[in-house]
Amino acid sequence: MASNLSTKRLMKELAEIRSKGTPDGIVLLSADNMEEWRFLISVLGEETVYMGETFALKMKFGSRYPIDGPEVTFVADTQYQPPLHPHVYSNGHICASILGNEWSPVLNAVAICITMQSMLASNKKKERPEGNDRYVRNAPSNPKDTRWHYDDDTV
Amino acid sequence: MSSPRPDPFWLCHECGAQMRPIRVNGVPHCASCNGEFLEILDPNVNPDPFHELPPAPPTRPMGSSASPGSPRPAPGSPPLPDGNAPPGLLQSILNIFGPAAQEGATPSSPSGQRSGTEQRLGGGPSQGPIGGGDGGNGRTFTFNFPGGGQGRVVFGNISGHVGGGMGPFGPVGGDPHDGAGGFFPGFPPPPRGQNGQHDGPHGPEQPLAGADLLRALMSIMAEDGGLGGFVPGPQGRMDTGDYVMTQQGFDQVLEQLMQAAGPQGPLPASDVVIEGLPRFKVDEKALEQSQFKDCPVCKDDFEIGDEVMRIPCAHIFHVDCLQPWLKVNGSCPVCRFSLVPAQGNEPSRRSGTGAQTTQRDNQGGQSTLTNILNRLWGQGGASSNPTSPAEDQAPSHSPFAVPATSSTAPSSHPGDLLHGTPPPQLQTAISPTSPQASTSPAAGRNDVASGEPAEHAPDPPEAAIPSAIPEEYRARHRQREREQHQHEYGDDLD
Repeated sequence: MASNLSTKRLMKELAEIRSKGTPDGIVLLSADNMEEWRFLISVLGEETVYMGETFALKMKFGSRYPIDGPEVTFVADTQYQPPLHPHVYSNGHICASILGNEWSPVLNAVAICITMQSMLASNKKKERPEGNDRYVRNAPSNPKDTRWHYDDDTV
Repeated sequence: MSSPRPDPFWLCHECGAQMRPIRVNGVPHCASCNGEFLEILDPNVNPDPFHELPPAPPTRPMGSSASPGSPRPAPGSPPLPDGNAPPGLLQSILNIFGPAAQEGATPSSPSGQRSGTEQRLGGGPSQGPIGGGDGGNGRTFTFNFPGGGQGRVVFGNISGHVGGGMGPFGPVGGDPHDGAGGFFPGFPPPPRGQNGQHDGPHGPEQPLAGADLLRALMSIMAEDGGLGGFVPGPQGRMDTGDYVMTQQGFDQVLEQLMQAAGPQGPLPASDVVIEGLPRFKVDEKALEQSQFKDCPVCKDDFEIGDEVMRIPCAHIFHVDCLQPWLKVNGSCPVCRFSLVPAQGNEPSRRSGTGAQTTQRDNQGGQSTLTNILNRLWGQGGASSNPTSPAEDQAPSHSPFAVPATSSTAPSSHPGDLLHGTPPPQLQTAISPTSPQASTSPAAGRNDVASGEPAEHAPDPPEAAIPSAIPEEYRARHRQREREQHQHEYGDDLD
């Protein structure tokens, strides 16, 4: 159960999303409760390698949000597939510093979406991370349990 | 072949325990240490993983015996000085094995003898087959372990066996002493330590020396677990998880290492630092003058009467919003101004205190090795501690910081690299690998009572330059890690 602070904060974010909307290419897919939200992410423009693709981003908020960042993964099911990206594993786990040790409570759900969108937008090579199979084989269910090493700030 | 047990035990590769796991969200966890690196010990469920292994790469310098597909060397080797095995121990093991082995010794072809039990004898998920392969002469021994259960091992000379990378077993020896002593499994030299000095090179044709046989026997026992408590040595048990010989096994160990390296991410601010931050109540004047109208954490507007805290970077937060954050991450949520000392971070991660009185600003000059160690062990390397962009300012802002000038003081510290208090310019290289070393600078400089005066020596050894961590030091660190590791498991088991 979400705590007071996390619920209050998420309600505030939700209200803002509903009143002000979300940036282009980002759509709130579901926010049925204060524990898991889903967004649709697509990259706009003609330069992108993800032209015409839409991805679902799942955020699970713990009771300590926003002190603890949400657990963020791309949805990998029959309907949605994670983007082919050097920082996105085929199980939907994302290697992005702001989801790990660079999380800050100043960030919020929409900011995460924007970051993911720009991460996709700047990508030129549609490929899985090196060692994807190995990681996916052994990955914990929660990507926050993975000890990421962030070594690439170009994408 | 052992008959399938209705309720199989699992082997935890993290703590070595055999237990029935607890399932958390369907994921089995070790009932002893809560680890997730488990292997079910049921031949029906876990049939011959060897078949899934890729063929051994052909270009390993040590040949097939060092290839990933080869059997693990006896796990007992680290605690056992090679060639110095206590003769009494060897004898008692042989006494245990001897009668059972003799009774069960039934010369037979190794073909088709593989079973789950035999695989366990060979070692975990990554073992080679014992008696695997076609052709050759082998002998099968069946053991009845005192702890219950039955094991079987095939010793023999398997000619022409290449595919699995399996080091062939030595031929049947002529030792009339007893059944077990007569057969010499050709375990490859253990990869660790200096244990390679066997009495002579032993390939497929040469029998092993006594210590090698002992190792082989102990590996069998350790894998079965029936004699776990019997095995002496510093660890008191066989650390079977230490050896993997397959890519898959290596992957798992690597992932475990990466995850076990501790919580990722930045370090908390100490309570003393948090308590020392200025607090005040928002009043009309402050509300009007401040450029910050809302709390960045909860996003609520500041209201008159709110209790707020200010970080030296001038960002303002509700006390109740900032405190829990700083206990997770000692940096400003807005600008990442760091309230955490740049180095010597491990004690504060573990205890929440201890590092607040140290301020070291020398983060350059880290050797590659240190960086690797940092990544492995989770200290604040450049990649794992992004919260210190402002670290060079920290000393002048944090009321509890020791001015960086202390690093210019003549170093009058340690002869002992591990326990001593190295001069600040050396801490970069040393402290990340040694919690003790990283606490002591603070203690030594600011709190003489809790320092380690006995360790103070006139001059730091010249070997302690940042780019060269002496092997002796690293060896001692490893030993310390092992002891600590064991200590923690001991707590868990209690």
